[in-house]
Amino acid sequence: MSEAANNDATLVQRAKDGDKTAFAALYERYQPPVFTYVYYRVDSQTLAEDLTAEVFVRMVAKIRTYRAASPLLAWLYTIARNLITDHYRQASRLTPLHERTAMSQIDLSEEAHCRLQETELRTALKKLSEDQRQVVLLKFIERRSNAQIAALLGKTEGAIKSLQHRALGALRRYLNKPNKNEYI
Amino acid sequence: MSISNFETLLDECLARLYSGERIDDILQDQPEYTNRLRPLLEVAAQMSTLPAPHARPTAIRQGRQRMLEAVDEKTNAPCPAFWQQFIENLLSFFPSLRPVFGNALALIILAGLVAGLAWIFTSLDLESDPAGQQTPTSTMTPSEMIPTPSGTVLLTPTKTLLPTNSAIFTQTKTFTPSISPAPIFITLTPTPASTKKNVEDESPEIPTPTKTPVLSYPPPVTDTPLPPYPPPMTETPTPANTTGNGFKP
Repeated sequence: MSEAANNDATLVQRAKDGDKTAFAALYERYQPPVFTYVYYRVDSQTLAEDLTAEVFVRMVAKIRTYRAASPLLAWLYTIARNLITDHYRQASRLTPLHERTAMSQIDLSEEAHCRLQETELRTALKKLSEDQRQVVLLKFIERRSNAQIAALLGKTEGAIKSLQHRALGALRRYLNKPNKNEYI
Repeated sequence: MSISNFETLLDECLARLYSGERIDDILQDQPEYTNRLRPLLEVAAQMSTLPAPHARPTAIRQGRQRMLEAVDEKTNAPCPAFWQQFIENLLSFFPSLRPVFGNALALIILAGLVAGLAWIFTSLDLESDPAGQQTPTSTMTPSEMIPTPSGTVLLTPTKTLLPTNSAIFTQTKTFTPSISPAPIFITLTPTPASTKKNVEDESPEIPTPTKTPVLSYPPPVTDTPLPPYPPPMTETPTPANTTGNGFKP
């Protein structure tokens, strides 16, 4: 077990015992990657901040069920993913159809002002598999090393290299950038 | 080159890209893989243009505050029941089941446990039966004697003298039913089917009682003829009353 994971295990154990400083330390450590993950799923700064805060509230509620066998960040990603799904499910149920249509038109007009490339990248990023998206966000957005990503996600460095290879290939296909030279 | 070797090569090229080297410069060192590496490095370069988002400091503080308040609430909250902890622990192994089942899983598991226990007890009960799974047959042996219901009628005449020198004769009839001989005992004797019979060859024998006792209630009363009414007066005459009104003091 790596030093970071060991440290995590200690913090989690203290948090399970109700130690507030341990919770605060976990928040400092994992708030940035969780926020990045949520931000690139919801495309809204305010909503991402709100949902990220909710992730940590839920972490407090469920910390006893967390098993040290899986990395903490992967567990937090799972919580975040469930929260995002719940949020959109609730929003689609509560928002009337004509309002949803109007909102999408607003989004389109906003997108017109955004850089097309960025929009395309974000859209393509959402189409990746969960593992691929996590690796891309940690590697290309947060600029973490393979060793760090491997420790955070509980995978080997070889698996991380493989995931980034497949993720870049998938992104290239989604971005619809045909290359004259055939890829692989 | 194997895939894993190519993945390692790509990783090295990405490291050079993020250290600030141009794509063309990187590919010059890998001419035989240029066609495969270029599109991947271009996408990676594009991805690096995406901003690294940061939550606003206020939001970070508020988020931390919300979390610490949740810690306080949880610390002050009563300890969950045993079965709630059990379900939570169970769902932690199957997180995908959580949104689907939630509390319903608790009910399902409880129902399953109850059904399982009931089945176990039923099995134990059957195993303790010496006849095993064989179906016992019953033979009814009625008593040879059919009881005859009868009764005794007791007539008790009484006489009441009235102040007017007259008398009222009444008769109380008491009937006491009885059954003779003793009541019937019906014995059910389980007889294990030791020899298996072919059902197609023979129809199953149904034991028939030799005699069927029929009891009617109330039993028919064989009254003995009632004595004449009013009974003959064989009384001695009442002595004269001192007061003259015919009453004894």
